[in-house]
Amino acid sequence: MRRELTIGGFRLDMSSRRRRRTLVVLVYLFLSGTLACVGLWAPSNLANCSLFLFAVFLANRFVFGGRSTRGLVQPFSPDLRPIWFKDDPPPSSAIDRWFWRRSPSRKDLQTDERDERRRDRAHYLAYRVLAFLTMLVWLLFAIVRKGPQGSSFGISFDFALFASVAAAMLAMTLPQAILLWTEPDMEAEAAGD
Amino acid sequence: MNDTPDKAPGESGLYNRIAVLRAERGISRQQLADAMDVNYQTIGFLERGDYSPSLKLALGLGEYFGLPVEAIFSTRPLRALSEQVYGTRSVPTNREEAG
Repeated sequence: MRRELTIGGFRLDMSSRRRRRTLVVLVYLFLSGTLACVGLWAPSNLANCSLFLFAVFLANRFVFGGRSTRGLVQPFSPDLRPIWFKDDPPPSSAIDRWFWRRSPSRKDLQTDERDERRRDRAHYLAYRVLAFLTMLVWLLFAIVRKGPQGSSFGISFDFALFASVAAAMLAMTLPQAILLWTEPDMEAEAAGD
Repeated sequence: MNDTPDKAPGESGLYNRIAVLRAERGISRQQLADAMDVNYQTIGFLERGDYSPSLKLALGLGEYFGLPVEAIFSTRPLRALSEQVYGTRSVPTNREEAG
């Protein structure tokens, strides 16, 4: 996990767990607010859902990481590598050099066995949370369907779409959020020397 | 570091001498991390006993320090190296003096 979050040229120190937890809460507040707007306004509107999922993509790309080369968490997949590394020799074309300058170095993306073990654990926890929430939604509908008066009604298409978009958000962000939430305070590079 | 017998082994349940060995040889965490191809934070977690290394990393550390793995890691509290090498305590405890 990286110590610093770089957004728009600004560098924020995220070595403290407290700061990372605050960041996770802020991102989820923003995403939940956006999701609530989509749900209240028009959940079946494909454009609204796509816009929300784009917001999730941006949060992953620039804040959480994990599924891109940017953000706090290094890429989960070793295949997820930029076209250029900053420690490679500069490419000849001007456009390529523009991308090369913004590329991370190899060391910046490198994960070790502890990172990978924690990554696997975070995915396992996220899977359990998602499984629990899915069961909870099913249980709620099972109870509501029977109802006290024996009335029955099916799940509306709007709700099903809303729930699946919310589940997609959690599936895309929860492992990174768990990592950011649970990783202890990071020591400075010279500490303990 | 958890080289002393009284210190809890951390989350991993393993005692180790990495910090002592590193200090003895004057190696920084970053240098050790670079040699082992891991993050320097991982060395800190190892030293505090909060992370149990893979067999590959444990063997790598053994090779790096020129010691068998059991001299670096143990499931039981480790005795001080000087005590282990020379066999007896050099400084008697208060109880021993009174006795």
